[in-house]
Amino acid sequence: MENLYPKDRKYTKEHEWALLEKDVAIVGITWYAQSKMKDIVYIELPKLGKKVKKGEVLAVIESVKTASDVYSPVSGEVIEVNKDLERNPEILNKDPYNKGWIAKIKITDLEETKQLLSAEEYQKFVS
Amino acid sequence: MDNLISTPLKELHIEKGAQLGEFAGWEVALFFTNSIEESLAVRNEYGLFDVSHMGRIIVKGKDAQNILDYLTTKNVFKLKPGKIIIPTAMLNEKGGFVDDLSLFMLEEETFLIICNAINRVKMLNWIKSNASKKNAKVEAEDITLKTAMIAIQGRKIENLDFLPSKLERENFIRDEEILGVHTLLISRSGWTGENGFEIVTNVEEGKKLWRRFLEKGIKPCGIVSRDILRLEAGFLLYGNEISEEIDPVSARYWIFSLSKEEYIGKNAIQRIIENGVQMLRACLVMKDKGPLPRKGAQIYAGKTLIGTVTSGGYSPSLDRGLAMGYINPSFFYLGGTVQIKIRENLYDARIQEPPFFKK
Repeated sequence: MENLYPKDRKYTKEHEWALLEKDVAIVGITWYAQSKMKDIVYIELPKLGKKVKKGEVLAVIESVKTASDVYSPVSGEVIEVNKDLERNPEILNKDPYNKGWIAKIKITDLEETKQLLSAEEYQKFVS
Repeated sequence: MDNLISTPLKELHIEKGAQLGEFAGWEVALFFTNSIEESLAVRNEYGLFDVSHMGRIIVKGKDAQNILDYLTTKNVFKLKPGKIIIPTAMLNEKGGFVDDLSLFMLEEETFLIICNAINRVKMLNWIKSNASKKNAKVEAEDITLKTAMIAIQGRKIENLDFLPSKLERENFIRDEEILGVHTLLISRSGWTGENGFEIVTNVEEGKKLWRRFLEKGIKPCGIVSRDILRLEAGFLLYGNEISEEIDPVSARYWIFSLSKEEYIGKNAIQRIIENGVQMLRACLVMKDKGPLPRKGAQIYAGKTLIGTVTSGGYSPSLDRGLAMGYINPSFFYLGGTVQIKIRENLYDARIQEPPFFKK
């Protein structure tokens, strides 16, 4: 099961992951999240420069079944978004941890990241 | 799951890795692999659906034809054994839908109704209570749980040589074998917009037949893809586009006869036609690939609220959102643009007529 939840990043109970590189977090959704949503057909990406607080809506993902909010795992400013997802939202199903990254956020409160779950903790949470 | 009726093919679906879920009080297969792939399989080739949840009611007796003619909106006296009226409907006194249905004439004085899963018990009671009011000599029996029902649908269905390809639309045959399995009834019908057959069997034969079809490499499809396909075909779903409160004129669902002398709901329909309707059903195609219109979303013309979405979602054939809804008739014109509100923003959609896939 290791590859379902890579150990190099942190997780939230709302099923996002954050790969922390100094004061920047690359953010996406977990394997579990995409498997529950199934058939992803659209993503509403955040605007560049958008300031988000931890737990606020960062993006909206639509699958055949339903629309789901993606919450920001950190507080900060959106500095880059993955435009490829607009044309090919199915990448979120196929490769949620690499090509399926959603946004890069410049973290304003590094202290908060300590509350994020480890891969092990998250795996326990979803199993 | 509590209080749900399971499809008799449930174990076979679990074996195939289906995701099960609830529909109209039944536990059914939502999808097997991926709803988009499944719907495209039907548009490009063919697919297999377990539709055992559909209601199946036998009505028989000396007065069966009379009472069914009184209860349904099309002329039942035109029916002959082996023929189907599809679709037809039963209306209430206000002209609202009790249900839409297919009516099969099995033999003289014996008919089969196939109705929506959600209305099975209501329909049985409706038939029985109206028959007793009219002192009609008929019996109505719900055979749903004793039988299974399978639909096989798709553009290339004619390539499957084990199906009765000579059977014409709106016709059915009884007691035929398919792939060595006895069937009760095979009809040329469906709900996907594509060519196909619907097959009723006893429960054990249903399981066998499902396996045989899978062995032939036919892709099993879940109810989510069925919903996508019917939306692309512009078909109405009970509980979404039609209900006890909605009449066939507003629904633009032309299942009623005005030349027929008498049936429940006819007077109401005549009044509605004379007085005009308050709303009309429209099919709406999103102008751009973007967020999806969903049931309950509001429809605007500029800043004016003109209606509500009753069904909506993603169309794989169009690769964009597709919806049906009811709007104020003053704003209804084909090709016209309206706006659908999705999460606080308005998105353009065009009023168009189905089908929404290449014929």
